[in-house]
Amino acid sequence: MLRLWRWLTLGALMACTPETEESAGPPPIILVSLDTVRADALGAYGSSAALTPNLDRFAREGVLFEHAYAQSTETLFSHASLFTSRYPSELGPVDYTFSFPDGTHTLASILGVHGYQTAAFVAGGHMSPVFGLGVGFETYQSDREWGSLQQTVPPALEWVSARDSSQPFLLLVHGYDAHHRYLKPSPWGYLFSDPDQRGTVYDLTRKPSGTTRLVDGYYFEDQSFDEIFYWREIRMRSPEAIAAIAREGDALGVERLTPSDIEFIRGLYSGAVSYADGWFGELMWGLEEQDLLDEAIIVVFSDHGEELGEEGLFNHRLSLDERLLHVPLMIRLPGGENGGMRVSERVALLDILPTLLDAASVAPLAEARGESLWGIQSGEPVSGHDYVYAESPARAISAQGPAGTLEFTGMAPHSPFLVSMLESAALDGPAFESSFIGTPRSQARDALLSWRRSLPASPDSAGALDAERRRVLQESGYWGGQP
Amino acid sequence: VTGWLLLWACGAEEAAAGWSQEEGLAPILAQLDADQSGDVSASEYEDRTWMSPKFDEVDQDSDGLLSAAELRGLLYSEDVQRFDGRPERKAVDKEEWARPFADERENRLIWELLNFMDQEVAFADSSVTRPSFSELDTAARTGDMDSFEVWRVLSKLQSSYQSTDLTWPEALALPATFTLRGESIPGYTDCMQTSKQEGSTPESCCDVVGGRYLADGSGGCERTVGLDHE
Repeated sequence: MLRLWRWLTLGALMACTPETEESAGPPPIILVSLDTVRADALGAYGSSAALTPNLDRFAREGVLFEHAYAQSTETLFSHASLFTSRYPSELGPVDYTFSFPDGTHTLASILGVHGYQTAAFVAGGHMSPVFGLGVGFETYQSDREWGSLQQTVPPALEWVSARDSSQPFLLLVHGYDAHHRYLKPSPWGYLFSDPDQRGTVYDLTRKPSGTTRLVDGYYFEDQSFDEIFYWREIRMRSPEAIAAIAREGDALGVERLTPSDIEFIRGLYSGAVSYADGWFGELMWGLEEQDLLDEAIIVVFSDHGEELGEEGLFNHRLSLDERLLHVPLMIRLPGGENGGMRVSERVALLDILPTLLDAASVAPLAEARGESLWGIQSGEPVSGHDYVYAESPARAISAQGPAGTLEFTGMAPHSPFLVSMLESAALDGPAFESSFIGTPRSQARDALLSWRRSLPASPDSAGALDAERRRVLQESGYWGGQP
Repeated sequence: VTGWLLLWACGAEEAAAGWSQEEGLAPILAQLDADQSGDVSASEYEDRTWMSPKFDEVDQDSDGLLSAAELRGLLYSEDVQRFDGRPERKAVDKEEWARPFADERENRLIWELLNFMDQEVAFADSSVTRPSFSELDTAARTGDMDSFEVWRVLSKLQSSYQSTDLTWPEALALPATFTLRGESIPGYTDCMQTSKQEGSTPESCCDVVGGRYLADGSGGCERTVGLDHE
């Protein structure tokens, strides 16, 4: 009887396993960057807020990492880290003068040396060529600032169709669909919000930088965060800072949003995520049309999350908390192998480069900070990280550990004084923000210190911010009104 | 055990079934289907839309219902950057705009002005009207520039653009002159205070400051100035 069950099982395996041909060469690799999508915005991660049927299906066909973390909360630095498997401050100042140092090894440059055709279709903004993230890509196309997958998926599919099919390829497709401003074309725009909502929130959601000017529900229409915060050098989430904002808001007569206004914004965000999902479906359909799903490794991730009014904050520049750093990460193996597998260990976006080099049978990069996750192919357990770390241009670093987050604020990640400040600052003082309770807080501080000591000094700034970068940043409120 | 193995082995079955956009859009249709009738009617579509194609334009097969294929078409139908119905936004380089006023960089209102342009006028939408002082003086709310001063600042900026390659926003085109009234006319208030002692009249004070006395019974005085008559 047992033997019969074994035969039945074997028969079932033979019947159900897709007929994937053993690929002789390195696999095609496709990266899909869904900018600003929180992990908890997807159905596959347990959300019921947005509708993400295509991404949820992808999760069933791929390996889902339940606890994946970004290394920064802004597109520029997060992608720079992912492309190099290094922390942003190792590469340059964590500000908008950032550039890759000459000779930086990136995923694209390494795979290019190993015979890969490389192309990126990105949606401008921090991914704009002026910021230099295109190192190693033979094709780096960015047709629209702060654009959508609507502008990047079609040319990406055209490129795939026209490529030399005898060679492997690396393709990056990126879109800001879930980035502010959230309101998307109908019917996705108001899929989860009331189209009849009016008032301040109605106006601000139509402005390119509207929701970036919300703090604790106050809408500072004419002040950028550079003006509100950075000049005053205050910690964003401290009770003192929130109280100061409230005082200033009341003094200026600044309008404060109601709970229904905030729900309205959250609904728009969910609609934007669903819109991104629709375009992701277009991409998958197009790849299948070109018979690539049985060959390619497809990695879907977001570079950072978004604050939607929790603890008074919006946007993704003011903290390094879970909502901003916990991102979706899913890897679909050729043919959907191991589909539905979920990994609970803590991993980082900078693990992607070592994983893909491993998958392409390319020697590991010596300076990489991440670890290969390629064991997922053979079902091996993923070891994960005790702590994952992040850096913010808003002068903050953080450690995400087994029991929460420890954030240290007040010093730029590239500051040469950071280690000594970390050593001397009181753990219960204002420089630390923590969700830890008790002993783990000191362990997390030790982990932060150990991490910082392991990093080389940051390269110097390349100079002042040039006009072209300023122009791009101004487009979406990343550069304030002051010279 | 066998059942689990079957599930595991068939885990990729969905992939073999093929990706279908219409299938992927079914939950979106269900969300639009407010009365849960199984179909999306014209009114259900229009209840959730704005600035988008009318239902008649979307309903390709004219059956009065929104299908998945028709919904899929909407993914492509609008340019995301134009979703609010405004023309594509033109970038404003505030540094460039501010260059003619380099010596006034500390003047906060200049930046309020430029921010205003950045937010509103840069769209170059012909429906955008010229900003009023109250609209401009919103960040610092200092109130220390009046509407004439704002007009003068803008006019200077407009004038300076004639010698550059920059294009002045059509929506911000300014009249060549500005009409000052009553107390906003330099010297008029002083004259009126003096007049109480010397017996001067509003009419004579208006004449003293180069204004035109309004003989319509309002007793007002107005003076029209251009940039060359500051």
